[in-house]
Amino acid sequence: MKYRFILILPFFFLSAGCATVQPWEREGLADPIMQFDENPIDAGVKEHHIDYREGSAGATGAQAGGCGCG
Amino acid sequence: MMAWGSPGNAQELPADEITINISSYFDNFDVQIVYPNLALTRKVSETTSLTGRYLVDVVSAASIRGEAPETGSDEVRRIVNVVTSASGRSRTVVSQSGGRIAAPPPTGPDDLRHEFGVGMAQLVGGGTVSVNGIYGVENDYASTTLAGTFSRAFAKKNTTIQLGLVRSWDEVFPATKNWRRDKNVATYSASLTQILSTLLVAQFLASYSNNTGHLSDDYQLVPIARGDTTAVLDPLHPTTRSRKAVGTRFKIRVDRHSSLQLGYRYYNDSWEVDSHTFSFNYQRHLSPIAKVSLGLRTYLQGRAFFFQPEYTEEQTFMTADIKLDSSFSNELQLGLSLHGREDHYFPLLKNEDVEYNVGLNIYQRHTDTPYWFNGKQDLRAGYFNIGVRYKF
Repeated sequence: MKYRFILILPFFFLSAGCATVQPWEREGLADPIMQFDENPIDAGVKEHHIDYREGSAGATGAQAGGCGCG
Repeated sequence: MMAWGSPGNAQELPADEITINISSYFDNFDVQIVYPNLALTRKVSETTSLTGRYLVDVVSAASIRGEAPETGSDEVRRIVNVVTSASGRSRTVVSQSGGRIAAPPPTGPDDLRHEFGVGMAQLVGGGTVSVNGIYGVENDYASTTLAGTFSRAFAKKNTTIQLGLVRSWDEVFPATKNWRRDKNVATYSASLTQILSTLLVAQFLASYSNNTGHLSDDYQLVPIARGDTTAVLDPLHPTTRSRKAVGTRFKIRVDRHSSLQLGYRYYNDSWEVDSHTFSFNYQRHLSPIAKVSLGLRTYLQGRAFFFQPEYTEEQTFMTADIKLDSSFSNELQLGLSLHGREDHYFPLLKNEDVEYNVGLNIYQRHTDTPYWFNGKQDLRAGYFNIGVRYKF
């Protein structure tokens, strides 16, 4: 598969997890600007428009139901 | 279409809130969509939260209304079959020489779609399980979707794994046909989010989708040019499509007030469409109540194996769906959020539980082949959203 190399990335992430960030160090990570999908409904709606203008879908963090949109 | 993101962090229920949005889409292919939507989330116990959603799509589109483009050129060698659906108007065929057809004046939206969703999130054994049901209906399509996710955090919540399954049972019944056909979609997804440091978070996402049944868009007819004559046939898509995507995103804290997000996704499917998506997003606190974001997205796509710019004879598989052509697109994303404060002088912001959001996306897509309906290769679109979130 062309994208096989991407599949090994999770293992790098997991190994890096050994350097644990303690709960009292995470204050900055709770900031909304450090969230991937702080407004998930809005993100999903925008993704929907793109899905119906392009030929790809998936691996974006959003889920959606079916639509007869052209 | 109802879309939702992941159900919040593992071991946390979504906040009680009501969200109201009015969104609008418009493009130079003469499509305009307005869709107000409403969502309500409420905890019913310490471990359970319920969500209800409603959305309506109000669609106006020339391709539906029956207005053919000006095609006075002798080089036009296709028959434009203009069909209308929402109002049940009769099918119209434009002659080979082209020209504008005067359609009956529109008496309302060309298409109206309603979508209802209910969901539940439950804390279970250190993780969170959510289940959502969606029903969408319009004049030529109905969709029933069930979606479930499970997320759990590990390693002092530095690592979060989420698994998801979406199953859709759709029914297609174009206004120009006298049949009803099924379309089924099953999508499996997984994500791993890893806190790498106090300044860096990484996420890996993967999805696999299996689509079966009627996968053609019957409003997009395929012209077959045979010498001096042109026939128009129904599209013929394969009845199966397996779609795979993997992606990664990084969130980087730049300084106390700003962050940067970088993303990449690779997509591939059994129709031989493959694509690369690159994304960039910068967010910054302008003040204790205001936050802005600037994003850029670039997309590159290869063509489906059965897509041809022009057909000279009937093929086993044929399509006029421009989404399956080679293309590239760019999108600029702008956003502004205002979060209320108890001591603010402005009445609408005098509440720390309220947040206002405004967004504008400008999108441009170029395809190798002109769109059959209007002869254009370049789509330019805008998406505008204004909304309010109130936590209670």
